Amino acid sequence: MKIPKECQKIKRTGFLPLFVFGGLFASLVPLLNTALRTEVFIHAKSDPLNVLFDANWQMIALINVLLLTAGACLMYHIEYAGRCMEKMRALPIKESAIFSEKCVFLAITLLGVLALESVSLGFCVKHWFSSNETTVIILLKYLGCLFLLMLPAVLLALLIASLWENMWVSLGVGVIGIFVATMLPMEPSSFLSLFPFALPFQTPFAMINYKTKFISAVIIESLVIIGAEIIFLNVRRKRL
Amino acid sequence: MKFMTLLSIELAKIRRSKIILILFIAVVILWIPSVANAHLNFKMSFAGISPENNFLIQGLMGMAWFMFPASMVVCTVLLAETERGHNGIIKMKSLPINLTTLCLAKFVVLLLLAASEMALTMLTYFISASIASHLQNYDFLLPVSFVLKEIFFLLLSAIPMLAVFWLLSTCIQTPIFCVGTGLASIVPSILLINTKIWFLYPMAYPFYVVATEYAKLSTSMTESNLNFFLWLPIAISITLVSLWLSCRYFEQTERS
Repeated sequence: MKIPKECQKIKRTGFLPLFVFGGLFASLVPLLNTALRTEVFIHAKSDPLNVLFDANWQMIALINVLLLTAGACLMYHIEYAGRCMEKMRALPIKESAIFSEKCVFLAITLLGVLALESVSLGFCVKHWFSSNETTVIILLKYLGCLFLLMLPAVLLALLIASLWENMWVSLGVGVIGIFVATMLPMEPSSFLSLFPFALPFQTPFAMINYKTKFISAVIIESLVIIGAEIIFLNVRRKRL
Repeated sequence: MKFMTLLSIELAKIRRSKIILILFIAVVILWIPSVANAHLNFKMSFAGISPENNFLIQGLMGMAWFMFPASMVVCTVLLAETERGHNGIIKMKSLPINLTTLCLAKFVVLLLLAASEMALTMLTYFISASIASHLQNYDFLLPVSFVLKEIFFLLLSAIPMLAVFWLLSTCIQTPIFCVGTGLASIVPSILLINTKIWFLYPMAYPFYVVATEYAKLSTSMTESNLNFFLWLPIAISITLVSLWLSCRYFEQTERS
């Protein structure tokens, strides 16, 4: 793994500032929503985090998915622009290793974004709700759930980005994928909600209620996408 | 070079970009759930909207809320990236042409792409509406003039948004930031159309226009007419300022 190399490549592309700003922007959603409509929220009967997730998560998840698609496209765009990928192929580096490094890097960055959003949700609970049930441990557990739900989308976005050399094609396909996800039914019981881009829209509560279903879906989808990427890279290398 | 020559050159540049294919797939995906769930249109009687109007407006809402703005961001990427390879844009700018005209020609290409996406939406609407009519034994097809009017109005209301996206892509040199900002700017529009200051946010215009059309066609909702008196001057000034700024930025990048 050469994660530091990925960091160097990405350094001057505006990737990290975008993710920081995107994360802050997404964290503003629950803050503003709760600040402006406090009455509606604090009189709800259920668990405060549940209320907050129901009210805000669709929007936050949409921002996250858009960020990860744009980020994935950029990570491959810097390889394809200026024919860098051909130079990389001449080196004793496996293309699949490049893919896995990019996956790890993008996933870690998104974990940071999710952590920012969790902090913002935790702050909302502390500031507006008089509930002592929500602890750091619970927030960390939810963060883990959200991260797991995000993984297939990260892999799929990078697979799409690696398929086409032109950024607008991969971005267009990624955007179509997100569009499909926004139109699918969101109930956790439905089979269609397991579409990789639709998984990040699920809340941790859905994940906990349907644990086996979501965890097995995440594992199977991840393996299938990784397998597809390896097959694609082999086919492309033979055709070059 | 004349404006039309530049425009035809710009169109030739994107000829093999497969962008129309991407836009086409997007609109096909838009109508598939509408056809599959066509029977739900009959359950909308509580809103006082007829099934055929509901079929069209729900589809257009799906388009105006996310797919149309997002695909326009993709188009700005296309316009910027096709020329970045092999320093094409520098060669273009070194020719004796008026850079403002070139910038405007590129913007017109963006408008044409938006118009073609809307035309594809209309085409696929008629196909999907006739399939739905066949499946449900109910005539979902609306008169062509009515559909044309709705779609033209949607396209017209998107011009300020397109100008802002074009400004973003000319003033932000790093492609990722321009894409990220463009895509993220779509998300708040769903909140803003419910506020009184929606007209200050160009990304919310297309969605707002379709939403008011929905209210107009249904009897149960209070009719909310578009407040042209306030909206038009703001929309026109946003468009003009964005275009002016994008032309300035476009010229500046050459000098630096």
